Amino acid sequence: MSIVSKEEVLPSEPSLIVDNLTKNYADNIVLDQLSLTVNPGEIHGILGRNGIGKTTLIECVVGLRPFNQGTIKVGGLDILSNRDEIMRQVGIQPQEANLFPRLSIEETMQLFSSFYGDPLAYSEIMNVLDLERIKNKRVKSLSTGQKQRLLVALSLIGDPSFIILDEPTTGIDPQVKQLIWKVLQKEKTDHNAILLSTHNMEEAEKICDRVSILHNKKIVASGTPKEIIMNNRKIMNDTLEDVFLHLTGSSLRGEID
Amino acid sequence: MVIDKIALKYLVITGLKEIFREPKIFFFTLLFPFFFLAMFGGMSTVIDPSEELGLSFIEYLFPGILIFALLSVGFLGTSVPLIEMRQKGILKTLRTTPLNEITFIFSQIIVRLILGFMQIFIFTILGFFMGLISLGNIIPFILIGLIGLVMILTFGFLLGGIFNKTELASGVLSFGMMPLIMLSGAMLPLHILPDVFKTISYYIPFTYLTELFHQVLLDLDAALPIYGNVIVLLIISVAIFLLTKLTFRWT
Repeated sequence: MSIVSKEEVLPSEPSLIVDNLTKNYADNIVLDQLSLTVNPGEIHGILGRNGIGKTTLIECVVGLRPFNQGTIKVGGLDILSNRDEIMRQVGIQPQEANLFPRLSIEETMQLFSSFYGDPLAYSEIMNVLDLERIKNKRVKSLSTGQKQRLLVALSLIGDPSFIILDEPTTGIDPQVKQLIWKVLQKEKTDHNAILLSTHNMEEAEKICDRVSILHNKKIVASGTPKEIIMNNRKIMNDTLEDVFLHLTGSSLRGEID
Repeated sequence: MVIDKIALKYLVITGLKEIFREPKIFFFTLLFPFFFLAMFGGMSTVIDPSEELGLSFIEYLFPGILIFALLSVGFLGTSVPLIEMRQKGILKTLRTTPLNEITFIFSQIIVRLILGFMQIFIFTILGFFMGLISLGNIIPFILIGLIGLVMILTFGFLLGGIFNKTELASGVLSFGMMPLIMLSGAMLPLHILPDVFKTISYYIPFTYLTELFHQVLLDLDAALPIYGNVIVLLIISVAIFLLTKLTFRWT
């Protein structure tokens, strides 16, 4: 990983291959024959409206939810038969995750580092994410931004080659957002793969190498932010947000889940 | 699936910190039973001893109050926090790491064993100085307490997997604890109850624990010999643990 440099053999196979994934909740199809690839050294954004199935996709990828059809391979390993091994290589920041409320930041970092065979030095991660000066603060009294930074820090502690972040910058101030983006960029330069779920167009445009737009159970557009704009714009000056609205509709329709 | 010793150590430390740093949990799981002991001890000074059993009020109730204390740790101190961790998504967050469920379950059992052992230890000291436990009975009392604690904890984990909401679990378990204790013979001798309750009592695992305490501390008769009651309690514990492993849910 990035924070502590180390010599690595660059992986050649994709960090994630989702092939023909279908996920139903009872009779309701949430993801329909969805395919997606994330390569090492790439930040791949999943864009979609609230409740469209981004979190469901992530939870299927990390084996938190069963799925109905398709295959998911992380680092070449099938999630259904190799979940334990995959969890050692992947760092995850779940959306609205909760932690032990009465532990301090440092105690939480220490606890989570104990889950990994060869964790990074958590004090360095705390430094990078500006948590060192508040390391004694208890989780229950953290602000939204502080908690998000802690969750991102926890996702990095196992020295993962593939990082999955579910809306890491939702509801936080620009300074924290910039800090998280900087950390993600550093991860990318270290050839780690990042799957980032977001509905923040600025975030997608600024830090994602490729973006997939999830709508109506399927990926309706995929490519670099520029390619998506070029291929789907209606007028010359359309931004990614304009294109997103063209593709997903501008009405406030009911959410899927 | 093997136990990860380093993770286990930090999870145990975390579990203890979570309890000792929360006054409400600390009070209800650790201190509350001692109020019962003080209350019944006080009542014993004004209630005449039973002529039939030849025992004072507190002599008969003492093991029952310990069982009540252990049930507080096992039910309110195990099931409810487990449900709370699931409800709040803490278990789901843990599930996104390489932590395996055996390590997690064991860590929670060890935390409760420590709490339960603290209670057994304090009850032993109090019981000794109150003249309720003889010197020769100290070790058997502690051992029976530990066997009972293990069984109660496995029940706590099983119930923690069955219930979904803390409010429901707290209500049902608080409401259910007293009848369970009453029907196990810990508060009233079973022979004074109608036959139907006596029959029911033999389907309640705590009856075997109560009888074991009574056999050792009070020299009372029981349906099974001492070793028989121990075997029954161990079999129940193993069976419930296996069931817990099958029914445990992270989310």
